[in-house]
Amino acid sequence: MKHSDVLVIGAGAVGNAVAREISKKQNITVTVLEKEPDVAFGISGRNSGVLHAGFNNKPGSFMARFCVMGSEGFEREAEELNLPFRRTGKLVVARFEEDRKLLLRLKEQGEANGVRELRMIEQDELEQLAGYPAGIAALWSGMTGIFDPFQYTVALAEAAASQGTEYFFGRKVVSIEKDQDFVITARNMLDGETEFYSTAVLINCAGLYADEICKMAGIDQYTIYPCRGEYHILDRKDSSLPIVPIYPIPNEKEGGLGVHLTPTADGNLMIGPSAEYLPEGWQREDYSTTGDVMGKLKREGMELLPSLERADCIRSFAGVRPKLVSEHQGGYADFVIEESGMVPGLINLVGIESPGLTASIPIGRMVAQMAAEILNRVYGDQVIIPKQSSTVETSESGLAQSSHQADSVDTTNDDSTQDHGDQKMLCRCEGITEAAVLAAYDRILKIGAITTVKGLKNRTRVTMGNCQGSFCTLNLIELLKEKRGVDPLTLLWNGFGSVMLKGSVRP
Amino acid sequence: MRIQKDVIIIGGGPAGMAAAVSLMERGIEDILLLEKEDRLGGVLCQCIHDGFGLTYYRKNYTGPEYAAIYEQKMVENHVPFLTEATVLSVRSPQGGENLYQSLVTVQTAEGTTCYEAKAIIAASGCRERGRGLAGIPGSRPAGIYTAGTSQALMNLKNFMPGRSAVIVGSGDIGLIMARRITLEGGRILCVVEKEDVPGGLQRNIQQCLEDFGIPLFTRTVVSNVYGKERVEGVDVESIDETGKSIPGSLRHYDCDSLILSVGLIPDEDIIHDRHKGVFLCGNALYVHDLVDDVSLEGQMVAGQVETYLIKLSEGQEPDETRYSYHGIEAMRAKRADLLLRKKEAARKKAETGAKTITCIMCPNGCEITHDLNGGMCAKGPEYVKNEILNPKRTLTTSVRVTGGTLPLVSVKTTGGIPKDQMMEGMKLVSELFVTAPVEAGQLIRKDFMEEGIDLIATKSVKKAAGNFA
Ligand SMILES: Cc1cc2nc3c(=O)[nH]c(=O)nc-3n(C[C@H](O)[C@H](O)[C@H](O)COP(=O)(O)OP(=O)(O)OC[C@H]3O[C@@H](n4cnc5c(N)ncnc54)[C@H](O)[C@@H]3O)c2cc1C
Ligand SMILES: Cc1cc2nc3c(=O)[nH]c(=O)nc-3n(C[C@H](O)[C@H](O)[C@H](O)COP(=O)(O)OP(=O)(O)OC[C@H]3O[C@@H](n4cnc5c(N)ncnc54)[C@H](O)[C@@H]3O)c2cc1C
Ligand code: SF4
Repeated sequence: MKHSDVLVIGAGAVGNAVAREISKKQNITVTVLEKEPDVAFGISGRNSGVLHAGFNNKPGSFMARFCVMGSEGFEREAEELNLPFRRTGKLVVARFEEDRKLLLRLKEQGEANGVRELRMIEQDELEQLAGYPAGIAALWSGMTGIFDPFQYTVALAEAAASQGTEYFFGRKVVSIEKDQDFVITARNMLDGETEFYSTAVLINCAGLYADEICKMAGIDQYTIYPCRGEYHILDRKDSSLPIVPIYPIPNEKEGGLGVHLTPTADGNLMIGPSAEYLPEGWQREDYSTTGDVMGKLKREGMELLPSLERADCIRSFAGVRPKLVSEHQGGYADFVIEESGMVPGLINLVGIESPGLTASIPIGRMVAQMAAEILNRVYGDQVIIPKQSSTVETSESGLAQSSHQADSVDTTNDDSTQDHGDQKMLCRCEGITEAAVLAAYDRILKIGAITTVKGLKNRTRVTMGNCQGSFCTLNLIELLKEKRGVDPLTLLWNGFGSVMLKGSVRP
Repeated sequence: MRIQKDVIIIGGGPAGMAAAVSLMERGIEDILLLEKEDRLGGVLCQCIHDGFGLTYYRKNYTGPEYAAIYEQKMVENHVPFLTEATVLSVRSPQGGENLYQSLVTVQTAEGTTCYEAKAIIAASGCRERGRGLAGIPGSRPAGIYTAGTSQALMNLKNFMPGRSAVIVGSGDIGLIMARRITLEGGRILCVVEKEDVPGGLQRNIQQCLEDFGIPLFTRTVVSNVYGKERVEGVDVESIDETGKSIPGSLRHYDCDSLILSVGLIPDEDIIHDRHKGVFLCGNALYVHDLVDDVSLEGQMVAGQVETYLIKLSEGQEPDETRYSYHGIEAMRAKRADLLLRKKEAARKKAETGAKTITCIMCPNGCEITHDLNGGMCAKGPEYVKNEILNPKRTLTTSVRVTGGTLPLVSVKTTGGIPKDQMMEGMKLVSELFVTAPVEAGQLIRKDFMEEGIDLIATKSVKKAAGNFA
């Protein structure tokens, strides 16, 4: 049985941020169990990718506090994680006179939360910032930004792994026992075998299933109400689309921010998300898009930007919010982040919905502190000290370098070309070379994850362009086979069971 | 350092090759053709079915055979070309009077190179519309492919995209894939088309669907996709004229894949700004049904480029630009006309219940009666006579290659085999092996199914370097 000091369930942004902060401390061993083949397969890979400023949340809440902390100084984190990030600012647009007082209320709430750079703007300035006549007035938030949620979640995991965190993918936690230590039973999704892991501190970062993990530990007090949000992604070609996020007045009752327009870190524009509670007993990870909502998104998007009428949608997707309030109750509940009173040593993070991505690093810090305190309590001595910062490798440069050294004995140039592929274009729409894809492949293996097309896509954007993979899928399959010996017939598209091909024409 | 050329041709499909060959014939030799794949031929390489060259060469070639004609001409005319060279962008260089109006950035295995050219022929083909553009709701599992991708998977790489499929859209590629998958032992449950007449050529409706009893539902859409990891099934629904679904029309099909043939879009994204001296042709200009038209257009564009270069050298203000080609209007008119005739024929058929057979010898698709009337030319009655007495089909498929650079070689029968013996023929084919190298035209099996009809290779496959796997 594998033992560690701390075990984290879930390799989303939150679980990875937690693991990264804890593994900064010396002498603590950290294990992460994730049921999917790779990181960012849950809601961390299905959201708006907005670094929120923190004016939408109630003063004094965890949501408000951690969101503001996450937003302040994110440049530094982005640099450390080698993550492209732009503080674009954001507009909340009033279309009618009576909306003004709602904007003012948002502004006041934001200021109470300590959000900087909030400003009411009038029609002229709004038109200038939005690039078209969007409404009669707006709240401008200068601290809001955009980043790529996949790359972010990956970078957190790579940082954690480089500090010694051990990841186990394809391990679904099915039961939890507590004696002296916790004993966690996981099903290996690859071979169906049962495995056991023991730990002193257990941290539940299971996103949509955080309530189920609680139940496994005998805690019945939480229920997650999955609430789906669908999105459209528009063709990048249209340069007349806005470059700042544009939001409507939030609908308090729905408990979402309303259908908004968000430019992605890569220059596409997203419309969404909608907000539909999934029926009770429904499969929570149902990321389907529905005909009705697809129509509705377009209509609501057009209220914000009439010219969307002509825009081409290249892809739709959906995320699911792990809400702690039912449709009937409406609105938001605060994040639950606490050590269980009933089961000491278990830290639960439940209901981490928006702005969970923004808040993930400060959440990670607080949880790391909580974990350290528990360990001190359990082990009874003070062994836990922060690591020297110089041993903390940043993900990209550190990994790229070490994988290079590991692969090529002889470090002459020709040799490394052999191993790492060449500059040949693989995905023309996104301008991704073979070398870039192979580097991503190697990075997947490096954190112990399992290769999937989605994982490569999350790291490089391969197949995400205008052709949506119709040009490059073939070459991708071929490249992985030739250069890394991946059997095309077992290659996964995303989750376990998602084989891409159904055998050979002529075996 | 920038390399200067008179003309750069982007894309080595039939359009690019025809243009390049024609330029050389006109004595414009300072040219370079750039192709992103490791071979010339463009989309023809994966179109192993027949039906190419019917109008221009008056022959029934398969895609690879048609491509080979132009590859031969490329060699004969010493056309300079690079493969595995992807054009990233075409822009006009900033500032200053310059004969070299276009700046071309190219990515190869070695890195990025910049070219300057007086004229550009963009023959970069088209791309397929995907699920987003088709607006298909439902889950997002593995097993959803565009028809062109499935075609390439099967014909170039020897992979089955699925074993049972619903096809969305009745464009030609979808129809061709319906037959291809059926011949290879897969099941096509149905083809759905949201318009009220099918999009593809009558020839393909007949030979790819009707021959195999595959149902085609017009005014029908896919309304849901099931399966979390891999496609498990789809719902289809009929819609009325306004696009609303008709209550009670929902049907469910269990299948492991969904194949999209929902249209093609000219692919000219690499042209970053609109400037003079950029000429489009082939599917990059508009989507052509017939390769014959593409080849002709390639030659015509070469002519325009010649005029352009002459004017440029004489210091005249050249007026030919990418918009000078007026074929688009002609094509639109032709298409509209064809569509009208399709609708009219469908209406007549439904109204009178007249028993006619659609001639498939050319895209006109004349409706011919059993007493052999109604053809616009003599080929129609001839075809119908055979179709009634002894219907035959050319079988196009592929055979396993050992030790080759490709896993399969495309093959065809040198003549028609009885229509009802095609599946038997496939059984025979599936047991065949050839050893590389294979030459196009090489005999694979003499007297295949019938005396005097042989099975021959339609492309060449080189011997793979190194050991045989
Ligand atoms: C539509 C939408 C839009 C959003 N927009 C924004 C935004 O713009 N800005 C922002 O800051 N936030 C946004 N959020 C919120 C943000 O995405 C989430 O708060 C954040 O991603 C939560 O991360 P997580 O790690 O808790 O969850 P997840 O990423 O879901 O990670 C949980 C992981 O646990 C794994 N797991 C579950 N059960 C088990 C088990 N039994 N065994 C092993 N592993 C298990 C899952 O597979 C998953 O990988 C949005 C959310 C949604 C739904
Ligand atoms: C599935 C299918 C079935 C068909 N069936 C028939 C038929 O039965 N009969 C018939 O007559 N016609 C048929 N056609 C039509 C005809 O074959 C096509 O219209 C014709 O091949 C188009 O030629 P093209 O040169 O314009 O494009 P393509 O053949 O697509 O060639 C474009 C080339 O440009 C290259 N390229 C693209 N971008 C770049 C870049 N950035 N840098 C470098 N190179 C680039 C591509 O790799 C490709 O090789 C069919 C077409 C398809 C797709
Ligand atoms: S009869 Fe009509 S469809 Fe047939 S070949 Fe002649 S013109 Fe074409």
